[in-house]
Amino acid sequence: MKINQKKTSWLFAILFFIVIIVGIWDASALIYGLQRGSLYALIALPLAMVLGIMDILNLAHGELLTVGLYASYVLFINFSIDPLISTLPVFIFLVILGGIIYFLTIKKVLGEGHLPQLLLTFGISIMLIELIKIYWTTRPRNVYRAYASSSITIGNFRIGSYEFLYVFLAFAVFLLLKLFLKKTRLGQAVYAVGQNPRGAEIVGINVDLVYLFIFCLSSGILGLTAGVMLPRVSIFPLTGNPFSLISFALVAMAGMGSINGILLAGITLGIAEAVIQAIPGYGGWSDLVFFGVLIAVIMAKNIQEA
Amino acid sequence: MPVLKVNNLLKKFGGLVAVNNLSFTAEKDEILGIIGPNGAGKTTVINVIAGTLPVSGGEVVFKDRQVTELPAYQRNQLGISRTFQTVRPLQDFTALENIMVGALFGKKLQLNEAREKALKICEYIELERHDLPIDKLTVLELKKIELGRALASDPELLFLDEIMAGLNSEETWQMIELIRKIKENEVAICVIEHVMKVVAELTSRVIVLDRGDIIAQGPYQQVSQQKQVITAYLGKEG
Amino acid sequence: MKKIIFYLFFVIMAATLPYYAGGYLLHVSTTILIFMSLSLSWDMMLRTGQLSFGNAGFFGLGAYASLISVSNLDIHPVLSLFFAAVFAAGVALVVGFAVLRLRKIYFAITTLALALVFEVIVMNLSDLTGGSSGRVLPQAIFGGNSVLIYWLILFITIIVILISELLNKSKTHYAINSIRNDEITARSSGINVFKYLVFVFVFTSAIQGIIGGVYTQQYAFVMPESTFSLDFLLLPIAMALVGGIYTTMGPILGAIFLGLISEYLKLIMPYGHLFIYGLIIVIVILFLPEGIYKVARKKYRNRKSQEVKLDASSEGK
Repeated sequence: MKINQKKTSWLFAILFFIVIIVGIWDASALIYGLQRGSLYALIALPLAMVLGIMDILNLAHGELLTVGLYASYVLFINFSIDPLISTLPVFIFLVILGGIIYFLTIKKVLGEGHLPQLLLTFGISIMLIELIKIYWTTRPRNVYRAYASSSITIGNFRIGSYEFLYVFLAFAVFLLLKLFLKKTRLGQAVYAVGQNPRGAEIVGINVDLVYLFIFCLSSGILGLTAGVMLPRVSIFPLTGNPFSLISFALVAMAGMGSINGILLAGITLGIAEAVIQAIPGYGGWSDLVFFGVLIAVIMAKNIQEA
Repeated sequence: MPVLKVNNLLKKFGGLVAVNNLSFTAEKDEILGIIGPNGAGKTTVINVIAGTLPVSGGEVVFKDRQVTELPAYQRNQLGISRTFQTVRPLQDFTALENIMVGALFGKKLQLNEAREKALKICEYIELERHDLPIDKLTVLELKKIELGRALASDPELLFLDEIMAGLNSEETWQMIELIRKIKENEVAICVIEHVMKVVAELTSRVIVLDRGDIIAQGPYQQVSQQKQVITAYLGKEG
Repeated sequence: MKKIIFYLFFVIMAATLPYYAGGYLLHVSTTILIFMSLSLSWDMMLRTGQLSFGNAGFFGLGAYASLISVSNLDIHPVLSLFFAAVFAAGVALVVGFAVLRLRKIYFAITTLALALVFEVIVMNLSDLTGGSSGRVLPQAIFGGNSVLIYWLILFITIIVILISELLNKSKTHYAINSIRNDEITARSSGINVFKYLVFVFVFTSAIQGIIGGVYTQQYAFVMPESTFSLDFLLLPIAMALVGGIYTTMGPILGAIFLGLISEYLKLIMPYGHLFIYGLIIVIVILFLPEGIYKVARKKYRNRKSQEVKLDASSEGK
């Protein structure tokens, strides 16, 4: 993974421009976009790690988030554990689940090309969706927590205050991850494997272990995020599904392997969506923003390469 | 009239200049050698002329026609063929079908015509086991498939990128004979070669590249004596 | 000749099915044929080496195009199927010009997004599409006559099978196979890669559009949630993988096999029966990447060649 090597300045520029315009026009959209965008970035980060280091696009990414949400839900319903407290057990649960998935399936298609990898993770995503359907049906479920519906009023706007937790968590996870990659031996090994797996193997790094670690950590981060999200979302088997696509859009925006870029791309997308949503009568189209961005970015890059 | 005229060809990868304002021509009935040390930009020259990579500047003129902006497949249809340094056979095809592809699309033949043509080419290049799948073939046979596919589109300009690499000396001689035979059919041939004995044996003229620049050209015997050529190959102190 | 008689036998068996099979079996067969066509169309695109997840999207577009053209323009339902095909092909042409410049994961994920994108568009154009509650036709095609519907779908499926067979025997076969094997070799052998990709993408999308149309005409309603359902993406892929990709026989066998299993599963587990499909995809990818058809064919050939060897050795004695 080429951390910090991609220039993210153009993203900064676009973001800055949008922020100014939107700030003048509708400040609440700005804050709302920041909150939502942080969540996007938080969810996209694990996908980017697996893609950047293992060269695997995990189509079951969104479903791991869904599993996390249901795990947290079960802990709340059956044991009255608050979702925020359940982040820890759910984190551990998803690390283990990630490990199992890695050993049983992912490990066997490493380096086999994109076709089996995509089909395999697609199959896994279906299995997870359907398993959830078998146990909990498609009925949407909610967890009500009073603290999650609090809001603050700035001027004429009312903004949910709980969602600032997303922003905090996103920045915290990004910061910790960067520290980890820079300061620890394992982090350096991850970095080396991302750059050149064969070279890393030659200098004595256990590449397989690094892959296992990355897949588990990615899965774990989704578990962490799930606990924090649960009080604010309604969950059903397909809740996480769109996030695989959105996450990939962010990775494409940021440039493969750029960690800083993902945070920026997430916030940019979040604000762009919030702006579209704020236009009366056209709010429904905001779901297409990510696709527009994805196509635009991929096209632009493709043409540059040609 | 030269078959190929290259004027001020420029190819950059980011900041790196791989081919620097290169100009040369290739004539019918000659075998032109492109030689030079590793990283001199030899394969890049082929890639740019055959259209596998876009140019950064300059022009490629083939039979008095500008082809600089044309995509690779159109250049092949016009009569520019190439082989690859590391063989790139089509795995799901037999040897014969590999060769058919060149006739089908480079020459725009129909299926049965292409099959006949491919069979003729197999005979011409002495490839007997042509109905076998790719993974059953030897290196020489794979090289012959590369060559056969390139020939199947009836090229007037043929690039051979290190076609001798990986062959033993007997096979190398076979290949040299074959290339000479191809030349007789009024094809301009450009070979990239590392083995100097082959260059001396085969080419009528060579171009010596070093870091994207032509540092010498002329008949091999003459060029190989020049000081800057020896320096490029052996290093300054050598 | 033997082969033709063999095929003819199956076609006649299939065509006369309504005379000897009950209503339930007829219904199951209709569904299997629908998924068989989708599976073949997905496989034909895969033969170019590009993994497309777009089939559910074009299926949905065809469904809406067909229903709206019957309902708003008052054209005959059978004619509306052509409209569905043309519409899906047109959209595929426009979309294709953009996405077919992409490769590998970029192409796959962009096509995966297509169904979602089409669904959002359909939801938002609610005047035309009925929004999230969908639209209903007063009457199914052929007045809901299930035998005629079956014959129509059988006819379409036979055409799709023929297209698939022709594709594997045509010049295009050589082009797309080359592109799948090695795009750079293909380009330098005179193949216009983009043209062939667009061609295959457009006609497979047209097939998906027609199938979407006929499916909708059969049930006389559209609704975003069920029309753009994951089923129409998942099942065809699983069928082709199980049967064996890059062949005509693979998707056919896969569709029959999984289609029958699926009916049984629906009865015993109304929720989550698609789990098995996910599992099947995973198992096939991990343990049986060539699918049933190719493995069986290889076994058959090996046995044959062994017999030949035995003959030869006995002659030697």
